[in-house]
Amino acid sequence: MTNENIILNPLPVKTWNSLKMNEVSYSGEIPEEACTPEIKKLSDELKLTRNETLSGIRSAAGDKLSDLMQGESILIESDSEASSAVLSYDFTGSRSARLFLHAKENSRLPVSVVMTGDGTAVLEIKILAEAGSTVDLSVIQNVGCESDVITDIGCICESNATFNLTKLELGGRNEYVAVSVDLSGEHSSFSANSGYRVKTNQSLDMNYVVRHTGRKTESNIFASGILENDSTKVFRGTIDLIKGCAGAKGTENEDILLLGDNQVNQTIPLILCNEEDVEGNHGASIGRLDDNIIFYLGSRGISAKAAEDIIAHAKLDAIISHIQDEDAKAFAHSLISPEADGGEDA
Amino acid sequence: MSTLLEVSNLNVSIDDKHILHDVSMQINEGEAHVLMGPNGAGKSTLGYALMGNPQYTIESGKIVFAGSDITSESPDKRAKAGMFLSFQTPLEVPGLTVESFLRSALEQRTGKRIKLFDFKKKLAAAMELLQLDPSYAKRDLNVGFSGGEKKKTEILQLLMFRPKLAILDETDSGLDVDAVRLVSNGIKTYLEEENGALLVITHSTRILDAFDIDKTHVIVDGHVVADGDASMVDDINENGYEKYIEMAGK
Repeated sequence: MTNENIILNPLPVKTWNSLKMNEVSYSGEIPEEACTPEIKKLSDELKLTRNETLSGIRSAAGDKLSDLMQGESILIESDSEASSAVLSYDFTGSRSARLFLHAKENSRLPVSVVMTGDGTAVLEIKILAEAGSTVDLSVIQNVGCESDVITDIGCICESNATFNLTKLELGGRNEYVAVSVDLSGEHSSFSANSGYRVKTNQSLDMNYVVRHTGRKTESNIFASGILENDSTKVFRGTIDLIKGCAGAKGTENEDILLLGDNQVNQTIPLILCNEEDVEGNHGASIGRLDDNIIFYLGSRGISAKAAEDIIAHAKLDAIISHIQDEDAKAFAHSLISPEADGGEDA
Repeated sequence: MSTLLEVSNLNVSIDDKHILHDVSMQINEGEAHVLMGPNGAGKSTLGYALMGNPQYTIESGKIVFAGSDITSESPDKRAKAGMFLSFQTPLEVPGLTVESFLRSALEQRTGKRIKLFDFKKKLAAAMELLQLDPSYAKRDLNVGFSGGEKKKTEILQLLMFRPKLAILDETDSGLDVDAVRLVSNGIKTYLEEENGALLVITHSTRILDAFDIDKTHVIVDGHVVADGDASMVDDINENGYEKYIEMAGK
Protein backbone atom coordinates (compact mmCIF):
# COMPACT_ATOMS: atom_id res chain seq x y z
CA MET A 1 0.00 0.00 0.00
CA THR A 2 1.50 3.33 -1.05
CA ASN A 3 0.80 6.48 0.86
CA GLU A 4 2.21 9.66 -0.54
CA ASN A 5 1.16 12.95 -1.96
CA ILE A 6 1.10 12.68 -5.74
CA ILE A 7 0.09 15.04 -8.50
CA LEU A 8 -2.76 13.85 -10.71
CA ASN A 9 -4.49 15.20 -13.81
CA PRO A 10 -2.00 17.92 -14.81
CA LEU A 11 -3.02 20.33 -17.56
CA PRO A 12 -0.65 20.01 -20.54
CA VAL A 13 -0.16 23.78 -20.43
CA LYS A 14 -0.41 25.57 -17.13
CA THR A 15 -2.92 28.30 -16.47
CA TRP A 16 -2.94 30.78 -13.58
CA ASN A 17 -2.04 29.08 -10.34
CA SER A 18 -4.63 31.13 -8.51
CA LEU A 19 -7.36 29.16 -10.29
CA LYS A 20 -6.05 25.99 -8.65
CA MET A 21 -6.87 23.98 -11.75
CA ASN A 22 -3.42 23.11 -13.08
CA GLU A 23 -3.50 19.72 -11.37
CA VAL A 24 -4.85 18.05 -8.27
CA SER A 25 -2.95 16.70 -5.33
CA TYR A 26 -3.84 13.20 -4.19
CA SER A 27 -2.85 12.14 -0.71
CA GLY A 28 -4.60 8.79 -0.56
CA GLU A 29 -3.25 5.35 -1.20
CA ILE A 30 -2.32 3.52 -4.38
CA PRO A 31 -3.18 -0.04 -3.33
CA GLU A 32 -0.64 -2.74 -4.01
CA GLU A 33 -3.12 -5.56 -3.83
CA ALA A 34 -4.26 -6.63 -7.26
CA CYS A 35 -7.89 -6.69 -8.30
CA THR A 36 -8.70 -9.62 -10.53
CA PRO A 37 -11.80 -9.06 -12.62
CA GLU A 38 -14.64 -11.45 -12.98
CA ILE A 39 -15.00 -12.14 -16.67
CA LYS A 40 -18.73 -11.87 -17.17
CA LYS A 41 -18.57 -12.21 -20.91
CA LEU A 42 -15.82 -12.88 -23.41
CA SER A 43 -16.72 -13.67 -26.97
CA ASP A 44 -14.79 -16.44 -28.72
CA GLU A 45 -12.98 -14.07 -31.04
CA LEU A 46 -11.18 -12.45 -28.13
CA LYS A 47 -7.95 -13.61 -26.58
CA LEU A 48 -7.20 -12.94 -22.93
CA THR A 49 -3.67 -13.19 -21.50
CA ARG A 50 -1.50 -11.76 -18.72
CA ASN A 51 0.66 -9.20 -20.43
CA GLU A 52 2.01 -5.67 -19.94
CA THR A 53 3.15 -4.83 -23.44
CA LEU A 54 1.00 -1.70 -23.71
CA SER A 55 1.98 -0.17 -20.38
CA GLY A 56 4.03 2.56 -22.07
CA ILE A 57 1.01 4.28 -23.61
CA ARG A 58 0.73 7.84 -22.48
CA SER A 59 -1.45 8.80 -19.54
CA ALA A 60 -3.24 12.01 -18.60
CA ALA A 61 -3.14 11.15 -14.92
CA GLY A 62 0.50 12.17 -14.52
CA ASP A 63 3.75 10.21 -14.62
CA LYS A 64 3.81 9.40 -10.95
CA LEU A 65 0.71 7.23 -11.04
CA SER A 66 2.09 4.98 -13.77
CA ASP A 67 5.26 4.48 -11.73
CA LEU A 68 3.25 3.35 -8.74
CA MET A 69 0.84 1.06 -10.53
CA GLN A 70 1.24 -2.55 -9.49
CA GLY A 71 -2.05 -4.25 -10.15
CA GLU A 72 -2.55 -7.40 -12.12
CA SER A 73 -2.32 -6.89 -15.88
CA ILE A 74 -4.77 -8.40 -18.29
CA LEU A 75 -4.53 -8.08 -22.03
CA ILE A 76 -7.52 -8.57 -24.32
CA GLU A 77 -6.75 -8.82 -28.00
CA SER A 78 -9.06 -8.79 -30.97
CA ASP A 79 -8.16 -9.59 -34.55
CA SER A 80 -11.69 -9.78 -35.97
CA GLU A 81 -15.23 -8.53 -35.39
CA ALA A 82 -15.62 -9.42 -31.72
CA SER A 83 -19.06 -9.22 -30.17
CA SER A 84 -18.43 -8.33 -26.56
CA ALA A 85 -16.38 -8.54 -23.39
CA VAL A 86 -17.70 -7.58 -19.97
CA LEU A 87 -15.37 -7.41 -16.97
CA SER A 88 -16.45 -6.71 -13.43
CA TYR A 89 -13.94 -5.40 -10.90
CA ASP A 90 -14.74 -5.52 -7.19
CA PHE A 91 -12.29 -3.22 -5.43
CA THR A 92 -13.42 -4.11 -1.91
CA GLY A 93 -10.49 -3.86 0.48
CA SER A 94 -8.63 -1.34 -1.72
CA ARG A 95 -7.12 -2.73 -4.90
CA SER A 96 -5.50 -1.77 -8.19
CA ALA A 97 -5.90 -3.24 -11.63
CA ARG A 98 -4.45 -2.83 -15.09
CA LEU A 99 -6.25 -3.67 -18.28
CA PHE A 100 -4.74 -3.57 -21.75
CA LEU A 101 -6.82 -3.65 -24.89
CA HIS A 102 -5.30 -4.36 -28.27
CA ALA A 103 -7.45 -4.08 -31.39
CA LYS A 104 -5.48 -5.42 -34.31
CA GLU A 105 -5.85 -4.15 -37.88
CA ASN A 106 -9.45 -3.81 -39.04
CA SER A 107 -10.78 -5.57 -35.96
CA ARG A 108 -13.44 -4.55 -33.50
CA LEU A 109 -13.05 -4.66 -29.73
CA PRO A 110 -16.12 -3.85 -27.60
CA VAL A 111 -15.40 -3.93 -23.87
CA SER A 112 -17.54 -2.98 -20.91
CA VAL A 113 -15.96 -2.55 -17.50
CA VAL A 114 -17.92 -2.38 -14.26
CA MET A 115 -16.25 -1.01 -11.13
CA THR A 116 -17.82 -1.78 -7.74
CA GLY A 117 -16.85 -2.49 -4.13
CA ASP A 118 -15.79 -0.46 -1.10
CA GLY A 119 -12.22 0.68 -0.83
CA THR A 120 -9.73 2.66 -2.83
CA ALA A 121 -10.02 1.70 -6.47
CA VAL A 122 -7.34 2.34 -9.07
CA LEU A 123 -7.86 1.14 -12.61
CA GLU A 124 -5.51 1.74 -15.47
CA ILE A 125 -6.67 0.96 -19.01
CA LYS A 126 -4.27 1.26 -21.95
CA ILE A 127 -5.46 0.78 -25.49
CA LEU A 128 -3.86 0.33 -28.86
CA ALA A 129 -6.23 0.68 -31.80
CA GLU A 130 -4.39 -0.45 -34.91
CA ALA A 131 -5.21 0.78 -38.39
CA GLY A 132 -8.88 0.49 -39.32
CA SER A 133 -9.92 -0.93 -35.95
CA THR A 134 -12.66 0.19 -33.59
CA VAL A 135 -12.54 0.06 -29.81
CA ASP A 136 -15.78 0.64 -27.91
CA LEU A 137 -15.06 0.98 -24.22
CA SER A 138 -17.70 1.56 -21.56
CA VAL A 139 -16.66 2.10 -17.96
CA ILE A 140 -19.41 2.08 -15.33
CA GLN A 141 -18.04 3.30 -12.04
CA ASN A 142 -20.17 2.60 -8.98
CA VAL A 143 -17.59 2.16 -6.25
CA GLY A 144 -18.73 2.84 -2.65
CA CYS A 145 -19.42 6.43 -1.74
CA GLU A 146 -16.62 6.57 0.86
CA SER A 147 -13.91 5.43 -1.55
CA ASP A 148 -11.22 7.17 -3.55
CA VAL A 149 -11.38 6.16 -7.19
CA ILE A 150 -8.80 6.71 -9.91
CA THR A 151 -9.43 5.73 -13.51
CA ASP A 152 -6.59 6.29 -15.94
CA ILE A 153 -7.26 5.61 -19.61
CA GLY A 154 -4.70 6.01 -22.37
CA CYS A 155 -5.17 5.22 -26.06
CA ILE A 156 -3.28 5.39 -29.33
CA CYS A 157 -5.31 5.39 -32.54
CA GLU A 158 -3.54 4.49 -35.77
CA SER A 159 -4.87 5.45 -39.20
CA ASN A 160 -8.64 5.11 -39.63
CA ALA A 161 -8.96 3.73 -36.12
CA THR A 162 -11.82 4.75 -33.86
CA PHE A 163 -12.00 4.87 -30.10
CA ASN A 164 -15.44 5.35 -28.57
CA LEU A 165 -15.52 5.85 -24.83
CA THR A 166 -18.61 5.88 -22.63
CA LYS A 167 -17.93 6.72 -19.04
CA LEU A 168 -20.45 6.74 -16.23
CA GLU A 169 -19.33 8.17 -12.89
CA LEU A 170 -21.72 7.38 -10.05
CA GLY A 171 -19.76 6.36 -6.98
CA GLY A 172 -16.70 7.28 -5.00
CA ARG A 173 -16.06 10.03 -2.47
CA ASN A 174 -13.19 11.54 -4.41
CA GLU A 175 -12.93 10.48 -8.01
CA TYR A 176 -10.16 11.19 -10.47
CA VAL A 177 -10.58 10.45 -14.17
CA ALA A 178 -7.77 10.81 -16.67
CA VAL A 179 -8.21 10.14 -20.37
CA SER A 180 -5.38 10.55 -22.83
CA VAL A 181 -5.86 9.90 -26.54
CA ASP A 182 -3.26 10.14 -29.28
CA LEU A 183 -4.89 10.42 -32.69
CA SER A 184 -1.66 9.67 -34.47
CA GLY A 185 -3.05 8.02 -37.61
CA GLU A 186 -4.73 9.82 -40.47
CA HIS A 187 -8.53 9.84 -40.24
CA SER A 188 -8.50 8.37 -36.76
CA SER A 189 -11.19 9.52 -34.36
CA PHE A 190 -12.15 9.66 -30.72
CA SER A 191 -15.57 10.12 -29.22
CA ALA A 192 -16.25 10.42 -25.49
CA ASN A 193 -19.58 10.50 -23.73
CA SER A 194 -19.14 11.07 -20.05
CA GLY A 195 -22.05 11.14 -17.62
CA TYR A 196 -21.74 11.85 -13.93
CA ARG A 197 -23.80 12.42 -10.84
CA VAL A 198 -21.71 13.98 -8.09
CA LYS A 199 -23.61 13.57 -4.86
CA THR A 200 -23.42 15.52 -1.62
CA ASN A 201 -19.84 16.05 -0.40
CA GLN A 202 -18.38 14.06 -3.29
CA SER A 203 -15.80 15.38 -5.72
CA LEU A 204 -14.96 14.53 -9.31
CA ASP A 205 -11.80 15.66 -11.06
CA MET A 206 -11.51 14.96 -14.79
CA ASN A 207 -8.68 15.47 -17.23
CA TYR A 208 -9.27 14.71 -20.90
CA VAL A 209 -6.36 15.28 -23.26
CA VAL A 210 -6.62 14.58 -26.99
CA ARG A 211 -3.56 15.04 -29.17
CA HIS A 212 -4.29 15.36 -32.88
CA THR A 213 -1.13 14.50 -34.79
CA GLY A 214 -2.66 12.66 -37.76
CA ARG A 215 -4.26 14.49 -40.66
CA LYS A 216 -8.06 14.76 -40.77
CA THR A 217 -8.44 13.35 -37.30
CA GLU A 218 -11.55 14.06 -35.31
CA SER A 219 -12.40 14.21 -31.63
CA ASN A 220 -15.62 14.87 -29.82
CA ILE A 221 -15.81 15.06 -26.05
CA PHE A 222 -19.19 15.43 -24.39
CA ALA A 223 -19.57 15.52 -20.63
CA SER A 224 -23.00 15.77 -19.08
CA GLY A 225 -23.77 15.57 -15.43
CA ILE A 226 -25.45 16.59 -12.24
CA LEU A 227 -23.94 18.31 -9.24
CA GLU A 228 -25.81 17.92 -5.97
CA ASN A 229 -25.46 19.84 -2.68
CA ASP A 230 -21.90 20.66 -1.61
CA SER A 231 -20.32 18.70 -4.45
CA THR A 232 -17.21 19.66 -6.36
CA LYS A 233 -16.33 19.01 -9.97
CA VAL A 234 -13.39 19.98 -12.14
CA PHE A 235 -13.35 19.30 -15.85
CA ARG A 236 -10.19 19.84 -17.85
CA GLY A 237 -10.58 19.25 -21.55
CA THR A 238 -7.59 19.74 -23.81
CA ILE A 239 -7.69 19.45 -27.57
CA ASP A 240 -4.15 19.73 -28.86
CA LEU A 241 -4.00 20.38 -32.60
CA ILE A 242 -0.36 19.62 -33.33
CA LYS A 243 1.50 20.78 -36.44
CA GLY A 244 0.83 18.36 -39.27
CA CYS A 245 -2.75 17.49 -38.31
CA ALA A 246 -4.24 19.46 -41.21
CA GLY A 247 -7.99 19.00 -41.57
CA ALA A 248 -8.39 17.93 -37.94
CA LYS A 249 -11.48 18.84 -35.92
CA GLY A 250 -11.87 18.80 -32.18
CA THR A 251 -14.96 19.62 -30.17
CA GLU A 252 -15.67 19.56 -26.47
CA ASN A 253 -18.93 20.34 -24.75
CA GLU A 254 -20.14 20.18 -21.21
CA ASP A 255 -23.66 20.38 -19.86
CA ILE A 256 -24.16 20.64 -16.11
CA LEU A 257 -27.35 20.57 -14.07
CA LEU A 258 -27.16 21.99 -10.56
CA LEU A 259 -29.42 20.40 -7.97
CA GLY A 260 -29.29 21.97 -4.53
CA ASP A 261 -26.75 24.51 -3.30
CA ASN A 262 -23.10 25.15 -2.58
CA GLN A 263 -21.64 23.30 -5.54
CA VAL A 264 -18.19 24.14 -6.84
CA ASN A 265 -17.93 23.71 -10.59
CA GLN A 266 -14.78 24.42 -12.54
CA THR A 267 -14.46 23.87 -16.26
CA ILE A 268 -11.35 24.59 -18.24
CA PRO A 269 -11.63 23.95 -21.96
CA LEU A 270 -8.21 24.27 -23.58
CA ILE A 271 -7.67 24.30 -27.31
CA LEU A 272 -4.03 24.35 -28.34
CA CYS A 273 -3.35 25.01 -31.99
CA ASN A 274 -0.15 24.79 -33.97
CA GLU A 275 -1.66 24.05 -37.39
CA GLU A 276 -3.63 26.34 -39.66
CA ASP A 277 -6.21 24.15 -41.36
CA VAL A 278 -7.99 22.88 -38.27
CA GLU A 279 -11.16 23.44 -36.28
CA GLY A 280 -11.48 23.56 -32.51
CA ASN A 281 -14.76 24.18 -30.69
CA HIS A 282 -15.83 24.25 -27.12
CA GLY A 283 -18.97 25.06 -25.21
CA ALA A 284 -20.41 24.68 -21.76
CA SER A 285 -23.78 25.24 -20.19
CA ILE A 286 -24.52 25.21 -16.51
CA GLY A 287 -27.65 25.95 -14.61
CA ARG A 288 -30.55 24.91 -12.49
CA LEU A 289 -33.72 23.43 -13.83
CA ASP A 290 -35.74 26.21 -15.45
CA ASP A 291 -38.79 27.38 -13.44
CA ASN A 292 -40.94 27.17 -16.57
CA ILE A 293 -39.98 23.52 -17.05
CA ILE A 294 -40.72 22.80 -13.39
CA PHE A 295 -44.18 24.35 -13.86
CA TYR A 296 -44.78 22.53 -17.15
CA LEU A 297 -43.89 19.16 -15.64
CA GLY A 298 -45.78 20.12 -12.48
CA SER A 299 -48.90 20.73 -14.52
CA ARG A 300 -48.60 17.09 -15.59
CA GLY A 301 -48.50 15.84 -12.02
CA ILE A 302 -44.75 15.75 -11.56
CA SER A 303 -43.49 17.41 -8.35
CA ALA A 304 -40.52 19.77 -8.46
CA LYS A 305 -38.32 17.17 -6.75
CA ALA A 306 -39.45 14.45 -9.13
CA ALA A 307 -38.95 16.81 -12.10
CA GLU A 308 -35.34 17.29 -11.03
CA ASP A 309 -34.89 13.55 -10.70
CA ILE A 310 -36.49 12.88 -14.07
CA ILE A 311 -34.30 15.42 -15.85
CA ALA A 312 -31.20 14.16 -14.04
CA HIS A 313 -32.15 10.60 -14.94
CA ALA A 314 -32.70 11.64 -18.56
CA LYS A 315 -29.23 13.16 -18.76
CA LEU A 316 -27.58 9.97 -17.55
CA ASP A 317 -29.91 7.85 -19.64
CA ALA A 318 -28.69 9.66 -22.75
CA ILE A 319 -25.12 8.71 -21.86
CA ILE A 320 -26.05 5.11 -21.04
CA SER A 321 -27.63 4.77 -24.48
CA HIS A 322 -24.09 4.74 -25.88
CA ILE A 323 -23.18 1.54 -23.98
CA GLN A 324 -23.27 -1.23 -26.54
CA ASP A 325 -23.45 -4.38 -24.46
CA GLU A 326 -27.09 -4.87 -23.48
CA ASP A 327 -26.29 -6.50 -20.13
CA ALA A 328 -23.92 -3.71 -19.17
CA LYS A 329 -26.49 -1.18 -20.32
CA ALA A 330 -29.19 -2.83 -18.20
CA PHE A 331 -26.85 -2.79 -15.20
CA ALA A 332 -26.15 0.91 -15.72
CA HIS A 333 -29.88 1.58 -15.94
CA SER A 334 -30.42 -0.27 -12.68
CA LEU A 335 -27.89 2.03 -10.98
CA ILE A 336 -29.76 5.19 -11.91
CA SER A 337 -33.27 3.86 -11.37
CA PRO A 338 -35.43 5.62 -8.77
CA GLU A 339 -35.17 2.54 -6.54
CA ALA A 340 -31.36 2.77 -6.60
CA ASP A 341 -31.68 6.43 -5.66
CA GLY A 342 -33.90 5.77 -2.71
CA GLY A 343 -37.20 6.39 -4.49
CA GLU A 344 -38.89 9.40 -5.98
CA ASP A 345 -40.95 11.91 -4.13
CA ALA A 346 -44.40 11.37 -5.48
CA MET B 1 -74.39 17.24 -12.56
CA SER B 2 -72.14 18.03 -9.63
CA THR B 3 -69.80 21.00 -9.50
CA LEU B 4 -66.25 20.24 -10.60
CA LEU B 5 -64.64 23.66 -10.52
CA GLU B 6 -65.78 26.66 -8.57
CA VAL B 7 -63.83 29.88 -8.87
CA SER B 8 -64.94 32.61 -6.49
CA ASN B 9 -63.90 36.25 -6.68
CA LEU B 10 -60.43 35.46 -7.93
CA ASN B 11 -57.94 38.33 -8.02
CA VAL B 12 -54.59 37.59 -9.64
CA SER B 13 -51.50 39.68 -10.20
CA ILE B 14 -48.11 39.23 -11.76
CA ASP B 15 -45.15 41.40 -10.81
CA ASP B 16 -47.50 43.62 -8.78
CA LYS B 17 -49.73 44.20 -11.80
CA HIS B 18 -53.35 43.33 -11.10
CA ILE B 19 -54.58 41.20 -14.03
CA LEU B 20 -57.73 39.36 -12.99
CA HIS B 21 -60.49 41.13 -11.08
CA ASP B 22 -63.06 39.20 -9.05
CA VAL B 23 -63.36 36.37 -11.54
CA SER B 24 -66.02 33.82 -10.67
CA MET B 25 -66.97 30.74 -12.65
CA GLN B 26 -68.53 27.35 -12.09
CA ILE B 27 -67.94 24.30 -14.27
CA ASN B 28 -69.87 21.10 -13.69
CA GLU B 29 -68.72 17.61 -14.51
CA GLY B 30 -68.88 16.87 -18.23
CA GLU B 31 -69.54 20.47 -19.25
CA ALA B 32 -67.72 22.32 -22.01
CA HIS B 33 -67.09 26.01 -21.34
CA VAL B 34 -65.52 28.60 -23.58
CA LEU B 35 -63.59 31.61 -22.35
CA MET B 36 -63.34 34.26 -25.02
CA GLY B 37 -61.99 37.75 -25.10
CA PRO B 38 -59.78 40.12 -27.02
CA ASN B 39 -55.99 39.92 -26.88
CA GLY B 40 -54.55 40.77 -23.49
CA ALA B 41 -57.88 40.29 -21.68
CA GLY B 42 -56.43 37.85 -19.14
CA LYS B 43 -57.60 34.55 -20.64
CA SER B 44 -54.26 32.75 -20.39
CA THR B 45 -53.66 34.29 -16.97
CA LEU B 46 -56.79 32.57 -15.72
CA GLY B 47 -55.53 29.26 -17.15
CA TYR B 48 -52.17 29.65 -15.48
CA ALA B 49 -53.71 30.77 -12.19
CA LEU B 50 -56.06 27.78 -12.16
CA MET B 51 -53.11 25.45 -12.81
CA GLY B 52 -51.03 27.12 -10.07
CA ASN B 53 -48.22 28.79 -11.99
CA PRO B 54 -46.07 30.28 -9.19
CA GLN B 55 -45.33 33.35 -11.31
CA TYR B 56 -48.93 34.44 -10.74
CA THR B 57 -49.99 35.62 -7.30
CA ILE B 58 -53.48 34.95 -6.07
CA GLU B 59 -54.30 38.09 -4.11
CA SER B 60 -57.73 36.94 -2.99
CA GLY B 61 -60.50 34.57 -3.91
CA LYS B 62 -60.83 30.82 -3.92
CA ILE B 63 -60.49 27.88 -6.30
CA VAL B 64 -62.34 24.74 -5.33
CA PHE B 65 -61.78 21.69 -7.52
CA ALA B 66 -63.53 18.36 -7.05
CA GLY B 67 -64.64 19.46 -3.60
CA SER B 68 -61.21 20.55 -2.34
CA ASP B 69 -59.84 24.04 -1.91
CA ILE B 70 -56.76 24.03 -4.16
CA THR B 71 -56.09 27.79 -4.08
CA SER B 72 -52.70 27.27 -2.47
CA GLU B 73 -51.83 23.87 -3.87
CA SER B 74 -48.79 23.24 -6.08
CA PRO B 75 -49.31 22.52 -9.81
CA ASP B 76 -48.51 18.82 -9.43
CA LYS B 77 -51.14 18.39 -6.71
CA ARG B 78 -53.73 20.11 -8.91
CA ALA B 79 -52.76 17.82 -11.79
CA LYS B 80 -53.03 14.77 -9.58
CA ALA B 81 -56.47 15.96 -8.51
CA GLY B 82 -57.49 15.82 -12.18
CA MET B 83 -56.71 19.21 -13.70
CA PHE B 84 -54.84 19.64 -16.98
CA LEU B 85 -53.62 22.68 -18.89
CA SER B 86 -52.78 22.46 -22.56
CA PHE B 87 -50.17 25.18 -23.06
CA GLN B 88 -50.45 27.82 -25.71
CA THR B 89 -46.68 27.54 -26.18
CA PRO B 90 -45.61 24.09 -25.01
CA LEU B 91 -42.13 23.93 -23.51
CA GLU B 92 -39.20 22.08 -24.98
CA VAL B 93 -37.52 19.69 -22.56
CA PRO B 94 -34.18 18.50 -23.98
CA GLY B 95 -33.05 15.09 -22.80
CA LEU B 96 -36.51 13.84 -21.86
CA THR B 97 -38.21 11.72 -24.48
CA VAL B 98 -41.96 11.93 -25.03
CA GLU B 99 -42.35 8.28 -24.06
CA SER B 100 -40.29 8.55 -20.91
CA PHE B 101 -42.05 11.77 -19.90
CA LEU B 102 -45.53 10.32 -20.36
CA ARG B 103 -44.71 7.18 -18.43
CA SER B 104 -43.08 9.11 -15.58
CA ALA B 105 -46.00 11.52 -15.42
CA LEU B 106 -48.55 8.69 -15.39
CA GLU B 107 -46.65 6.95 -12.61
CA GLN B 108 -46.42 10.17 -10.64
CA ARG B 109 -50.12 10.89 -11.11
CA THR B 110 -51.25 7.43 -10.07
CA GLY B 111 -48.46 6.61 -7.61
CA LYS B 112 -48.20 3.21 -9.27
CA ARG B 113 -45.83 1.53 -11.70
CA ILE B 114 -47.31 1.39 -15.18
CA LYS B 115 -46.91 -1.85 -17.08
CA LEU B 116 -44.82 -1.19 -20.17
CA PHE B 117 -47.00 -3.25 -22.48
CA ASP B 118 -50.20 -1.49 -21.44
CA PHE B 119 -48.53 1.88 -21.67
CA LYS B 120 -47.14 1.29 -25.17
CA LYS B 121 -50.50 0.05 -26.40
CA LYS B 122 -52.30 3.10 -25.05
CA LEU B 123 -49.64 5.43 -26.43
CA ALA B 124 -49.71 3.85 -29.89
CA ALA B 125 -53.51 4.21 -30.06
CA ALA B 126 -53.42 7.86 -29.01
CA MET B 127 -50.64 8.68 -31.46
CA GLU B 128 -52.53 6.99 -34.27
CA LEU B 129 -55.65 9.00 -33.50
CA LEU B 130 -53.63 12.22 -33.75
CA GLN B 131 -51.66 10.93 -36.75
CA LEU B 132 -48.41 11.51 -34.90
CA ASP B 133 -45.59 9.40 -36.29
CA PRO B 134 -44.59 6.72 -33.73
CA SER B 135 -40.99 7.92 -33.97
CA TYR B 136 -42.03 11.03 -32.01
CA ALA B 137 -42.30 8.88 -28.89
CA LYS B 138 -38.52 8.51 -28.90
CA ARG B 139 -37.84 12.18 -29.51
CA ASP B 140 -37.09 14.75 -26.84
CA LEU B 141 -40.26 16.40 -25.63
CA ASN B 142 -41.23 19.18 -28.06
CA VAL B 143 -37.61 19.68 -29.12
CA GLY B 144 -37.54 20.50 -32.82
CA PHE B 145 -41.30 19.92 -33.12
CA SER B 146 -43.32 22.20 -35.40
CA GLY B 147 -46.04 24.35 -33.82
CA GLY B 148 -48.68 21.84 -34.93
CA GLU B 149 -46.72 18.87 -33.60
CA LYS B 150 -46.37 20.57 -30.24
CA LYS B 151 -50.12 21.15 -30.03
CA LYS B 152 -50.79 17.56 -31.02
CA THR B 153 -48.40 16.45 -28.31
CA GLU B 154 -50.41 18.47 -25.80
CA ILE B 155 -53.57 16.64 -26.87
CA LEU B 156 -51.64 13.37 -26.76
CA GLN B 157 -51.03 14.11 -23.09
CA LEU B 158 -54.72 14.86 -22.61
CA LEU B 159 -55.56 11.44 -24.04
CA MET B 160 -52.97 9.68 -21.92
CA PHE B 161 -53.71 11.45 -18.62
CA ARG B 162 -57.54 11.58 -18.93
CA PRO B 163 -58.05 14.46 -16.48
CA LYS B 164 -61.38 15.53 -15.01
CA LEU B 165 -60.95 19.03 -16.39
CA ALA B 166 -58.90 20.11 -19.37
CA ILE B 167 -58.06 23.77 -19.82
CA LEU B 168 -57.13 24.25 -23.46
CA ASP B 169 -55.24 27.50 -23.97
CA GLU B 170 -55.39 28.58 -27.62
CA THR B 171 -54.93 24.97 -28.70
CA ASP B 172 -56.06 25.75 -32.25
CA SER B 173 -53.83 28.76 -32.80
CA GLY B 174 -51.25 28.30 -35.50
CA LEU B 175 -52.82 25.06 -36.75
CA ASP B 176 -53.84 24.38 -40.34
CA VAL B 177 -57.28 22.96 -41.12
CA ASP B 178 -56.15 19.33 -41.06
CA ALA B 179 -54.35 19.75 -37.76
CA VAL B 180 -57.40 21.42 -36.20
CA ARG B 181 -59.48 18.43 -37.32
CA LEU B 182 -57.06 15.94 -35.75
CA VAL B 183 -56.75 17.89 -32.53
CA SER B 184 -60.54 18.24 -32.39
CA ASN B 185 -60.86 14.47 -32.83
CA GLY B 186 -58.56 14.00 -29.87
CA ILE B 187 -60.64 16.35 -27.73
CA LYS B 188 -63.88 14.67 -28.80
CA THR B 189 -62.47 11.27 -27.89
CA TYR B 190 -61.50 12.59 -24.47
CA LEU B 191 -64.98 14.02 -23.92
CA GLU B 192 -66.74 10.87 -25.05
CA GLU B 193 -64.58 8.33 -23.25
CA GLU B 194 -63.87 10.24 -20.08
CA ASN B 195 -66.97 12.42 -19.72
CA GLY B 196 -64.38 15.12 -19.07
CA ALA B 197 -65.02 18.81 -18.62
CA LEU B 198 -63.46 21.51 -20.77
CA LEU B 199 -62.51 25.12 -20.41
CA VAL B 200 -61.50 26.24 -23.87
CA ILE B 201 -59.59 29.50 -23.96
CA THR B 202 -59.70 30.95 -27.43
CA HIS B 203 -60.32 34.00 -29.51
CA SER B 204 -60.93 31.90 -32.58
CA THR B 205 -63.85 29.53 -32.96
CA ARG B 206 -62.60 26.86 -35.34
CA ILE B 207 -62.01 24.32 -32.62
CA LEU B 208 -65.49 24.87 -31.17
CA ASP B 209 -67.16 23.21 -34.16
CA ALA B 210 -66.06 19.83 -32.86
CA PHE B 211 -68.22 19.68 -29.72
CA ASP B 212 -71.23 21.22 -28.02
CA ILE B 213 -70.69 24.25 -25.86
CA ASP B 214 -72.56 24.46 -22.58
CA LYS B 215 -71.48 27.91 -21.47
CA THR B 216 -69.57 30.87 -22.78
CA HIS B 217 -67.73 33.49 -20.74
CA VAL B 218 -66.32 36.72 -22.07
CA ILE B 219 -63.43 38.37 -20.33
CA VAL B 220 -62.28 41.90 -20.99
CA ASP B 221 -59.49 43.66 -19.18
CA GLY B 222 -59.42 41.01 -16.47
CA HIS B 223 -63.16 41.17 -15.76
CA VAL B 224 -65.65 38.49 -16.75
CA VAL B 225 -68.23 40.79 -18.33
CA ALA B 226 -70.73 38.27 -19.68
CA ASP B 227 -71.77 34.65 -19.25
CA GLY B 228 -74.17 32.89 -21.58
CA ASP B 229 -74.85 29.88 -23.73
CA ALA B 230 -73.33 28.73 -27.00
CA SER B 231 -75.14 31.44 -28.97
CA MET B 232 -72.71 34.00 -27.54
CA VAL B 233 -69.99 32.45 -29.68
CA ASP B 234 -72.01 33.16 -32.83
CA ASP B 235 -72.70 36.67 -31.61
CA ILE B 236 -69.01 37.33 -31.10
CA ASN B 237 -68.21 35.85 -34.50
CA GLU B 238 -70.69 38.22 -36.08
CA ASN B 239 -70.25 41.38 -34.07
CA GLY B 240 -66.87 41.13 -32.39
CA TYR B 241 -66.08 42.22 -28.84
CA GLU B 242 -67.18 45.85 -29.09
CA LYS B 243 -70.22 45.61 -26.86
CA TYR B 244 -68.34 43.55 -24.32
CA ILE B 245 -65.58 46.12 -24.21
CA GLU B 246 -68.24 48.72 -23.53
CA MET B 247 -69.60 46.53 -20.74
CA ALA B 248 -66.15 46.63 -19.18
CA GLY B 249 -66.52 50.40 -19.10
CA LYS B 250 -63.84 51.20 -21.61
